[in-house]
Amino acid sequence: MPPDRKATAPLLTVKNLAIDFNTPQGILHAVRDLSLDVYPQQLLALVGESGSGKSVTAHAILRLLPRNGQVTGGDICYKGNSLLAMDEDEMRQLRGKGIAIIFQEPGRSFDPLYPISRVFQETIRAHNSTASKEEIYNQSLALLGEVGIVNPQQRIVNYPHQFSGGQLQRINIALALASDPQLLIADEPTTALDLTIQAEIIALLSRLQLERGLAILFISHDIALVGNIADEIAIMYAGRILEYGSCKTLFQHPHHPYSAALLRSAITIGQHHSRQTLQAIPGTVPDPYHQDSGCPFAPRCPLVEELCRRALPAWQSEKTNHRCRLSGSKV
Amino acid sequence: MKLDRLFRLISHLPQRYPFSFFIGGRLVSMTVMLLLLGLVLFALMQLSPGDVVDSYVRSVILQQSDYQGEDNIISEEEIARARARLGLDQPFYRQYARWLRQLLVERDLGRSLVSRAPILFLIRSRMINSLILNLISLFFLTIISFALGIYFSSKVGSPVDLGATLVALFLHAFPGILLLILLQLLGALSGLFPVTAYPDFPYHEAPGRFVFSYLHHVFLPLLGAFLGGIGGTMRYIRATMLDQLGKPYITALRARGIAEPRIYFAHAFRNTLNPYITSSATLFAGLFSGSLILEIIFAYPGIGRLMYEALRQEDVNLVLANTMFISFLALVGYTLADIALALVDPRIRYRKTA
Amino acid sequence: MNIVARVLRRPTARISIAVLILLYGTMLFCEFFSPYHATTVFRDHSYHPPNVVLYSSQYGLRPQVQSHALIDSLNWSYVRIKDEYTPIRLLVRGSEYRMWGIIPMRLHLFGTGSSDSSYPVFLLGADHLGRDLFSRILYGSRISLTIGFIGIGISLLIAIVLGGLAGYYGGIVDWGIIRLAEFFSLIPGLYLLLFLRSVLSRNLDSGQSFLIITAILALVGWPGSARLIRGLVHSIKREDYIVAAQLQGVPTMAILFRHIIPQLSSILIVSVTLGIPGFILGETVLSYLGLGIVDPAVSWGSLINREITSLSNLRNFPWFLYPGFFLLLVTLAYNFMGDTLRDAFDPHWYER
Repeated sequence: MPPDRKATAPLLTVKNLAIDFNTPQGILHAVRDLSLDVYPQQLLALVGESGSGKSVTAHAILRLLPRNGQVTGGDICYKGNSLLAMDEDEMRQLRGKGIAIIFQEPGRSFDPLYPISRVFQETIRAHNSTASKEEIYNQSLALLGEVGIVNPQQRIVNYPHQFSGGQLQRINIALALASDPQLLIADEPTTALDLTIQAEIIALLSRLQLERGLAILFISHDIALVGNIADEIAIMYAGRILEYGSCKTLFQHPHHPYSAALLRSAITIGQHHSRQTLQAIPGTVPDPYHQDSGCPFAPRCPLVEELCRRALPAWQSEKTNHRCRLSGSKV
Repeated sequence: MKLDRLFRLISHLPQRYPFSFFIGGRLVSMTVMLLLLGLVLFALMQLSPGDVVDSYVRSVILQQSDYQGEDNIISEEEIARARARLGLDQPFYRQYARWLRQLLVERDLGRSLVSRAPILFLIRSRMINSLILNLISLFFLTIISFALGIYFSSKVGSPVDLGATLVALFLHAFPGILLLILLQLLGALSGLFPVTAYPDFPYHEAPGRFVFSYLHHVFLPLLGAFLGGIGGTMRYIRATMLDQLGKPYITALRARGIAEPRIYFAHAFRNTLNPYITSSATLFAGLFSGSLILEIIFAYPGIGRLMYEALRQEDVNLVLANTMFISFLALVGYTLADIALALVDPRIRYRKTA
Repeated sequence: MNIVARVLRRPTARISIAVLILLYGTMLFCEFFSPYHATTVFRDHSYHPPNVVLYSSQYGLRPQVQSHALIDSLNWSYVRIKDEYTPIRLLVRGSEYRMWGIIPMRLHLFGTGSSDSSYPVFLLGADHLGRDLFSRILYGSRISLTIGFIGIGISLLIAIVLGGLAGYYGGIVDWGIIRLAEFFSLIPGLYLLLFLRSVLSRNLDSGQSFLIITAILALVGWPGSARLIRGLVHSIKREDYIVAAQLQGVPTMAILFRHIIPQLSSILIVSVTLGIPGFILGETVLSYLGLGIVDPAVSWGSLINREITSLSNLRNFPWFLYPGFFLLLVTLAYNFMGDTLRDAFDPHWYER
């Protein structure tokens, strides 16, 4: 449950979202009862280990789920309008213009056959069909400059395979900004990149959030990485959000044992790690095909009690919102 | 000093003209392949049990009108003498060198035992006929399988699509020989189409009427080639389209708000075209294989029929020349496809400069 | 869900399996299932049409043979004789044969008896020498149905060894083998087939020609699979467990053939299933052109030899097409089977 903030209206509201996948092995419950709010100019980080349903959520928000995936419950609203109720064309208008997204492997987000100039042309034309070639060219150069591509006049004629991964992710961001969206979803934007490049991209996103007043939904498996930039953070596990709150508070006082375990297992740069400070979480993620009603983290939880296995508790509001029956002091 | 500058100039050529260099490289490797192939074929000839060459020599002697010996009994000496005269007693590489000289310098590979016409003339005229037939086939196959493949890829999983893939697989699995025999029988029973595939008068007699008559004659065999190929190519295009549509860049395009028709035609289709260009060369070579049977069944005067006639007559020389020229043609096809692919795919075009 | 269940879920696959079992079963016991030997000649019954009827006033509703009379020995046209029927009996004692060339037997699944007076049964008509076409098809399946197995066996063996080596060692070995494969796939398949056939003597006995044709087909067929295997081996050899095996000092050949190649079994099964029809058709084409199996040996290809299935013959004796339909049945069964297997093995099909 997102923290209550009556002062401003959220840009994006996701309420009780449920997503299922149809597979040969049966129905896979990817996401269950997921709610989150993204406010204007805020950076919300959605954190969880791989397979927890983060990327699926991102795809579902833009209605880009693969054929066999389906939203089976809940609602997604942008500025109060339900995205699930929109027709295809309204949805297409919204993509890029209202909500933009960048993906994990930047190299795979490009059609290899077109030079960057053509990609900008088609992206800008998609939302502004009357734009002249010259306008498009100038805007493309400005965008490339904004995201830190050196020599944009020379590079714009190049093809995707002539850029490095970091440069491609910058270009992806530039393309995402082309129609001036208010919300950017960054789906593990740095996972496929080198550590130094990773830091540069993070810095770029932070800068854009400030300069453009952009709201960002940042999806990552790396809790340490988002700690520096997120305003709010939501911890996801096995398709559910287990804890949700301001980033600072959650880092200092994690309430849910899973959040605490995540924090303990994180590598922070500049800190000396010994066997004691860096801890892996024992066990594996539960089977997404058969979920019982208990807390999904119960099998791996060090503080598990009998009740935990029977039912997942309702949201509790302390310093953060969380779904653990134990009070924060124990964790 | 001058030499040094020249060397530097040459070593910079690949960077400055990557595409010309690519083509040059292709042409060189094509020539080398072809020369090697000839060597292998000649070696195989020599390795083969002797009676093939023997019977060839016998036929050559028999065909010479000035042959004076007693009827049909040819002495060993005479065979040996004829062998020496034809150069068939020499090691295969000498024979090959001699053959190449005949081809490239003298432009005469001798006469065929089939019709006593010059081999080069025969091959040229038959090759043109086969080329026309197979190019028409390739053209229709490409257009129609693209249309169907794209259409059914957009309907994936629907009953129409399932039905179409089933029909396509059925056609793909249908034995070509049986298909052609049935088509010929159909033509004969219905009386709508001629059962031979070539007009019975030459082109220069009445060009307009010839073209019309040609199309009428060639319709059934073409239908056979088309039905035989459409299943496979259609399935291939549909699968490649689906493969492309499942790629992350398509999701990225959708996420940027690009309209669906554009994603389909400017992106998925364009990316399906490229691997098709490569495989079209294989398809083309395959069409020649298929047209061999077609030409025999429908009595079409093409290179395949010539090959068959040569084989029946044990005309080793003609078989060899035929095989060499058909390989040459296939190789030209592969090389053209490579060049065409480089023209449309920036990843190959700019490999050197990147 | 396991592979077998996934395959059997498709009706086309179920039918294909049934067809293949039926055809291979009859092939195995073709001496028993066919009423006559493939070379048994009924001198006065050349071009005899199929003569099995299901009903007559004489015997009622049961399979029986209607006698025919030759009215025109130039065009070989027959007329049915009214009210002259011979009943077909099951498990009848007919002409003597040796099952698999060993066990002497006289039992046939069906027939009209072995006495000279009984009218011969031509289920699918007779050929130009008066030989029973049905028996010839069954005997012919011995060659046609096994040539695919043997051919793909040899070609796959070459492909596994060469493709495996190329993929595993890379470098100069890879370069050499790939060039070799390119060489073989350069010449359009049928032309290579005919060229190889032409350098061999024309007059071979049936055993020799069977072996040689199989070898030629295998030689023409290996490059495609070799390239496939090479690519797969190339990607598998980088996996951690292979690297671990290398570090432990497991001999290279053991790694390649005991650890890497078995990984490819599903892909190999699919390519075998889809490859067999190609070999069957290769034999058919050669025999059709009179360059493959010739009398007295019999295969489906030799049964649709171009002199036999000439246009005028087919007009007058349409039953000469029956061997072609058997061919169709087999190629369809293998293709539908292979297609189903490919889908069943592909774990990503549902993402499409």
